[in-house]
Amino acid sequence: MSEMSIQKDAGATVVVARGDYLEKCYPDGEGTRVVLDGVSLETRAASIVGVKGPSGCGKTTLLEIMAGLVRPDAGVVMFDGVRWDYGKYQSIARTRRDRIGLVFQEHHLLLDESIFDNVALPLRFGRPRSHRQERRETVENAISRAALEVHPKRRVRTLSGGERQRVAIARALVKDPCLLITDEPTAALDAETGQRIVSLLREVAAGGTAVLVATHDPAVAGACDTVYVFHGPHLEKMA
Amino acid sequence: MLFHVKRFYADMRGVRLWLLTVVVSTFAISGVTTYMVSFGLDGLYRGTLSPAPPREPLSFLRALDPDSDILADVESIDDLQDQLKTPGMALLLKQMTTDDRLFMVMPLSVVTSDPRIFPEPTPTGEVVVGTRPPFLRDAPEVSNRGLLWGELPAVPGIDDRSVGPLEVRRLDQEPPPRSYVAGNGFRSETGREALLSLTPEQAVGLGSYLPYSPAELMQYVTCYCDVDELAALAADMSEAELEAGSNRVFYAIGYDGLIGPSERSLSVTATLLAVFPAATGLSVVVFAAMATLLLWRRREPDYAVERLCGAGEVALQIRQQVLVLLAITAPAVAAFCVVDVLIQGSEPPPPWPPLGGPLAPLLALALHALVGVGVARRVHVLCRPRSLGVGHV
Repeated sequence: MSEMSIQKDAGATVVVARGDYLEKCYPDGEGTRVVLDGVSLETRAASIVGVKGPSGCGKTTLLEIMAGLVRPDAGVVMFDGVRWDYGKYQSIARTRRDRIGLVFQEHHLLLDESIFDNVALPLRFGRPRSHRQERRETVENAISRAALEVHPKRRVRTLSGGERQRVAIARALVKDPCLLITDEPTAALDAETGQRIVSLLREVAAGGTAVLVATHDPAVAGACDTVYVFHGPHLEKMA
Repeated sequence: MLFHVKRFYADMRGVRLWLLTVVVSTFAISGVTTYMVSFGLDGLYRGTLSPAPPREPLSFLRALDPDSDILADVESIDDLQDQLKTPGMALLLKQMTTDDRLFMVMPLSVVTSDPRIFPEPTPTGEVVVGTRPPFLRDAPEVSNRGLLWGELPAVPGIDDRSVGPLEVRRLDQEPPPRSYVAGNGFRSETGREALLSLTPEQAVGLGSYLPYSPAELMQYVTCYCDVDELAALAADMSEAELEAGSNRVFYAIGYDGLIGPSERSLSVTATLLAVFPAATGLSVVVFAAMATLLLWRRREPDYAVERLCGAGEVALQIRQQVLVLLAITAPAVAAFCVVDVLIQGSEPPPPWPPLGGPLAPLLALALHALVGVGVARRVHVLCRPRSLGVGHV
C-alpha cells in the first residue's frame, strides 16, 4: 500500500510499468508468426497509455505480457522497478492480485454470482484480510466509481454488456491498483455507454492510477495521454 | 475458508445435472464391475491349471459310461439310484478306507441341493470323502460321525447334529486353510466356506441323494499316488462293473494327461477371465476420467476468474479433489459395498473378504489417485501464466 501511495503521489513522472524490446512468436502451421518484434512502451502514474492497431495485430498479447499473464520470448518487463518477465509465477500472481487491475474484453466474471460478490472477489484473497464492514464499504465505493446504477445483489448473468463491463472495471478498481490494464473497453458497446467508460477511465487516471488500454476506438484513443500504434509486429509512439 | 466452501457449493450447483448423472453412472458402472469382477476372479481362481506340475505324485480317475450317456439322452438320469453302491464305486470307497492318499472333494451343493436335505437355499462349501486325506491329517478323529467346520444351518425338525442322513460333529470354528489338488487338477483352498469331512463308510449313505452318475463323480477324485497304482484300481473297478453287466470303464490319468481339448478351452477361458477384471476395472477409471474432464470443462471459466482475482492454487486443488471424491470415489465405493453385501451369500461368493477388507480402501485410494492426478494437472496448468485472450476463458 505504501509503495502504491508513493507512486500515485508522485504524479505522472513515475514509471509504473515498462516493457523493453519485447518479442513474442506463436506457432502458425509449420512455421511461426511474429506478433511482437522489439516492442517497447511505458506507463506512468496518472496517465492513460493507448495501444492501437487492427484486430489480431498483438494488442492483447502485449497487454497480457505487461500483466504477467504471458511471458515474452525476449525482452524485459519491469513493474515498479522489478523485473518480472521471469521468476516464480506465484510471486507474479500475488503482485498482480494486489497491485494491478485487469479488464478484458470478455469481462471474465462469475455469471451466477451477484455484482457485489464479483466486485468483492479480489478482496477475498491475500493479506491482510479486511473486516466485513470495511470490505462492504470498499466494494460499494468501487461500484459507485464505476457508476453502476443497478442493485448490487443482481446476478451478473442478467446484466447487459455495458453493465458487465462496468462490473469488471469496478472489480479491477476495488483494490485501488497502481496499474489498470483494459483490453478493448468499449468494444460491443453503444456510443453513449462507450463515452461513459472513457470518462470513467479518465477519472481513474486522475486518481493517480496508470492506465494501459488497448483499443481501435478513436474515442478511447483520443482520451489517451500517449498513444502507441502497431505497424505489423512493431510499435510506434505517436505524439 | 468459508468463501471456498461457498464456492464449492457453487461448483456443485453449476453442474448439478451433470453431477447427478456422473454420480448415478459411476454407481451403476462400479456396481456392475464389482459384480462381474467377482465372478471373473472366481473363475480365474478356480479355472487356472498351474503351468508348473505339483511336486507330489498325482493321478486322477476318469470313466467312460455309455449306459449313463444314453440314459441322460432320454432324460432319465434321475432314475439312477444309489450311485455309490455301484460295483466300481463300492470298490473305490473300499480302497479309500485303507488308502488315505485317495480322496474325493465335491461341492457341498452336490449334497445339499436335494430338497430332502435342505429345503432352504443351498449353503456353500465342500464335502471331503476320505480316510484322513493328506490335507486334513490334523483334524480331530471321530468315528461314525462327520466333521463340520464353518456355518451350515440346522435343518428344521432334524437334530442339529445331523446333515440330512448324516450325523455330524459341528466344530465351532472356521475350516482350516489347506491347499489341495482337486479331481480336475486345479489347486483349491479350504478355509473360506463350510467344510464337511466324511469317511468313506459315512459317504455311502449319501448315494441316493447324489445327482451325478459314477462317471461324473470321477471328476472329484484325486489320488496323491503314482498313476500306475491308480490304474490298477481302475482296472479292478472296470472288471467289477463288467461282472455286474455294466459297460462302465474306469481308467487313470496323470497330471500331464489332464490337458485335453476341454482343459485347453478352460485355459483360454482362464486367460480371458484374467483380462476381463482388468478391462472392467479399467472401464471405471476411463469413465471417471472422462466424467471429471466433463465437469472440469464446465467449471474451468469460473476457476480462471477466481485465479485471475488471486485465488490460491492449493484451495482450487482441494475444491476439485473434493468434487472428485463426491462424484466418483464415494459412489464407486458405495456401489462396491452394496453389491458386495448382495453377493456375499451367493455361490460362488466373491473372492475377497466381506466389504473388501483392507483391499477396499486401497482400491478407493488407487481410483481417486488415478482420476485425481488428471484433475490436479488441469488445475495446475490453469494456475500457470497463461493467455486470457478473447474466447479463451
